[in-house]
Amino acid sequence: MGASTLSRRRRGAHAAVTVRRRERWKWPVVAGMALISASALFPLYFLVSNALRTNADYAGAKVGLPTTFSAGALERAWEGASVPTYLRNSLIIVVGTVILSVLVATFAAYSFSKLRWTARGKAYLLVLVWIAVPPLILLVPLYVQMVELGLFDTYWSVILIYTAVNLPFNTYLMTAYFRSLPDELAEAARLEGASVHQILSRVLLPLARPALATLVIFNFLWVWNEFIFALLLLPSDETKTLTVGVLQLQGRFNLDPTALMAGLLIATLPVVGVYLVFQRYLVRAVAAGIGR
Amino acid sequence: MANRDRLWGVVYALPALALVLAFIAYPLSSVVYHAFTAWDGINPPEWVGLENFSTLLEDPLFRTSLRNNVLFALSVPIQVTVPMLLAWLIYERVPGWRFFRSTFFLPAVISTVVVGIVAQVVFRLDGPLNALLGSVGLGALQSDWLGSANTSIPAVLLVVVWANFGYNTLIYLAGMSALDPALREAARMDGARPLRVLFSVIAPNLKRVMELVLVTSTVTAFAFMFAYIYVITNGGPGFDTYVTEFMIYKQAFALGRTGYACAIGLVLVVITAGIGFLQIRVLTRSPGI
Amino acid sequence: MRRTLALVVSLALLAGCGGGDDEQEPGGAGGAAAVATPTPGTLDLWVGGNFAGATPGTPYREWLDAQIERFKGENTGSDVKITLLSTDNEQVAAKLQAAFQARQSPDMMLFYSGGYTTPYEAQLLQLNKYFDATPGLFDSLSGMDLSCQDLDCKGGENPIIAVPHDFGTYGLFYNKAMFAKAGLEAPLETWDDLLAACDALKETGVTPITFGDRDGYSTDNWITLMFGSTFDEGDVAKINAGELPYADPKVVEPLQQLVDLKERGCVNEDASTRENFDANTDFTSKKSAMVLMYPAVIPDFKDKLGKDLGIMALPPSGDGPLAGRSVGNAFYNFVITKGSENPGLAWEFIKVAADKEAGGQLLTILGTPPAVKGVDPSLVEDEFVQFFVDAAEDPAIPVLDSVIPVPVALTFYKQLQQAFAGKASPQAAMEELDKQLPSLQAGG
Repeated sequence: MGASTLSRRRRGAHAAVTVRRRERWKWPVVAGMALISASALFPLYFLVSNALRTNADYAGAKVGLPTTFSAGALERAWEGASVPTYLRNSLIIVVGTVILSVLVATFAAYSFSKLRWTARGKAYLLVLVWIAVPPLILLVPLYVQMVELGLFDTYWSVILIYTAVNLPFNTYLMTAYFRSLPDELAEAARLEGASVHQILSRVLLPLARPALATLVIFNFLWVWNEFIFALLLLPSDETKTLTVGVLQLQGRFNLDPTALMAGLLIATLPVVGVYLVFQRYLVRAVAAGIGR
Repeated sequence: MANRDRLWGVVYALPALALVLAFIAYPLSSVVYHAFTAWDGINPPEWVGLENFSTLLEDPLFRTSLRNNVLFALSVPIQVTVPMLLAWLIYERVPGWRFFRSTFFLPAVISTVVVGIVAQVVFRLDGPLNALLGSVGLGALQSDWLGSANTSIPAVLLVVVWANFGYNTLIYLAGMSALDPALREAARMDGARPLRVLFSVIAPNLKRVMELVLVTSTVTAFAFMFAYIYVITNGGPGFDTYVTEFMIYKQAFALGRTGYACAIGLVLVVITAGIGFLQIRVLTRSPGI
Repeated sequence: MRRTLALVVSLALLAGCGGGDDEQEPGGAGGAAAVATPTPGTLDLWVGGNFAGATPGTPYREWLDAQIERFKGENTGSDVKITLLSTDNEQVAAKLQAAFQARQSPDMMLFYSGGYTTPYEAQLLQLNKYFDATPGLFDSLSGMDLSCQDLDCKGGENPIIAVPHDFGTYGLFYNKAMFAKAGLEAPLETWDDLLAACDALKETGVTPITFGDRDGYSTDNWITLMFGSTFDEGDVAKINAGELPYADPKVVEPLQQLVDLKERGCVNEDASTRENFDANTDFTSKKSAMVLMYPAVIPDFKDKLGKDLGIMALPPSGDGPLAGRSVGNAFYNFVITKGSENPGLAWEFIKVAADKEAGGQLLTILGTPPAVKGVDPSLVEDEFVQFFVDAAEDPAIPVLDSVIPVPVALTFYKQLQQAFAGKASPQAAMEELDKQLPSLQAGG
């Protein structure tokens, strides 16, 4: 860089120098990130293009643009996967699970991070330890349990299971976040006479927006795409989820792959939509947090 | 005041404890019990003590499955460091950062089934990956990716890393946003190079986040691989891409050896928990946590 | 012996911990009432296999709905509710294991027969007395043996646990235009003709035969038919009973012939990583000239190839005593579960679904030959369906993997896949299977 640059810095124009320095290594990095983005977009492109193609096109080349645009696949998928009904079911389940998950995890995180009680550490461990359990092995016992509880083929069966299975992760995230918030905040509120509950609702929660937004997105996605429990526990039309319904089209996959693609696209769009919406909110929350 | 905390501490933790005990611990006990039985899931179980476990020790398929889990765990260093780098680049607002932030998370948004179908198409002998390699002069690397053990495991690994990096990036971003901005400014004022800022200043304060990513990535490599294997390779070619969860599924539902499957499940839980706790122990011992 | 013990123990346990589970007891006083006029009600029918894809608008649903309508007409006040299981066998097993553990039973199921039905034997009603009360039904159905205990009905004396639904076998579909271009005449009469055809087709630049052998299914389809050229009568039962090893020349020779087929270049290169169904698209997109498949694909093949579609029998590959005859059995069957609260009504439905009219509709709607014999020949629309109907007349042996237990079948497929992919010699692959047999058959 040379002596002239150094002296410029000493004259306090370091901002210009830093910008130039950054630019030098930036372009290959940006290109790399663009490549990653391209790969991330590929599956969506794959779904969209195939949803609009005919089966003949697909047989010819798995990846490619439609030679003739055809909405047939979308129609067949919409009907075959009873989209309106199953979509409603999926939405109810997801919203229910997310609300319950966030509530329970936040309460527990509050308990484990800001409240002092003797068995706190052990209780925290008792919630976290189950992260090592693959939900798959609990499939059949949980099925039997739900039948015994009379919850089989109801929304509650999966809402409870999903919440429980994700609690270790959700609780960890919220607890870590709360712990990173200084204790002085709670102290100050306490001195002003806030109750235990008010400290949580008035002080901690408003500050926890990034973590809450993260939880909402993660859990929404996980629940929406979950397949095996939904398949077994919600067999009837009134409760079946969209993901399961679309995958029923797989039985036709061999004869009608574009319908399956169209179905998967229909099932994916809501989550993409929610993600895009929440992602913007997350930006605002993060920005608020940084104070920009 | 302390009494108040003691009461409410318990009350606030109760829902979480109740849920995990009712819907994880309790069904798990059924799995634990049946691990000691010969059972097909239909007819009544028959107590056989430790027989399932001794069979397991000698079962070559189990060894293959576990080995593959370990191989997939080799991706963890990448899964911990690369997302942090990407998150920080976004945080530092490289050109196009908004676009990157939006798209990076997309692989995590789409379901594993879609990922699997796309992966199957991409890795075909006549698929886009080989086509791409050929067009940039790397034709020698072309192969039937999912057709042999040597290439199928890396292929699946790539898919898993690709599908999950969005999650980790987001977690790091959230963590970075909680950091005191003064830290960054101070480092910047000193004229430190950006990468240095990341490693010396930011990263040490993200230890909790790194711990989370480390543990979840490792746990995923052992206990959450099923969906990927199932959709992309179905355990094949032959048995080459079997992982422990997949073996459990097949033993229980394809071979009717549900008791044996429960035993494998139990062993998997112990192994995963063991590794997870070892990691946490090591991390919490080091200073700065 | 173990089965009886299991039955006794399960009844004891149920009596102990479930309170009086009367519905589990099919015999005794309930028996006579069950065969008398059943009470109206709604039946639960769980469907698997291809029927799991019976969403509204599909031909499978059309057939099911047609039978339900007829049933409702003859049984006022009754109805049938369909639950679609998964097309994936393991998910079905998960569902059934869980359902039976939870004491949840459908009234009846329609799903894969043979080795896929036998694991659930303890939960299935024995149907002998129903057959007795329905004279003529037993003789009207072909392939009954797969529906009886030990896969042998002994004329109806052995316990009958299922009612066969269809007849399945494989036919060699071929592309007439490609054959013409290669100067070939169909049908191919001998195995050498097949090899010569393969060479000629290669010359014209197409893949002669398409295989989708990721799971070993293609090799299995071919070899189970080829067993008809090397086996004696009763050999399938012998293999199932362990009296004939898989490493026997009767099994290894056909496998070697298939490996030779691949080495000759008759089969697509990526056969061992392509899925079975995926490979069909090679045929329908005119990349290959021949594929061995079952009747369910006829509508799609006809749609894609039109008048270029042809079908022939796989030429005999050996000169065993049964060579030249067809090989096949019912792929699906109906069962009634012990947990059914209205078995008599369930039987009424099955009678409707297994009669000649239903069989005719199976032909016209699905193009599948039914298990019921003597269906109106004018209902056969085209030569393809006719081919399969003819094959159903007098099958020599059943398809092996319909018969053997699922664990064994799965390893069988895997070993076939390994041999075909060139990873093991046919002899070694089959010896490996024999070695693993004891642990595969242990179960639990």
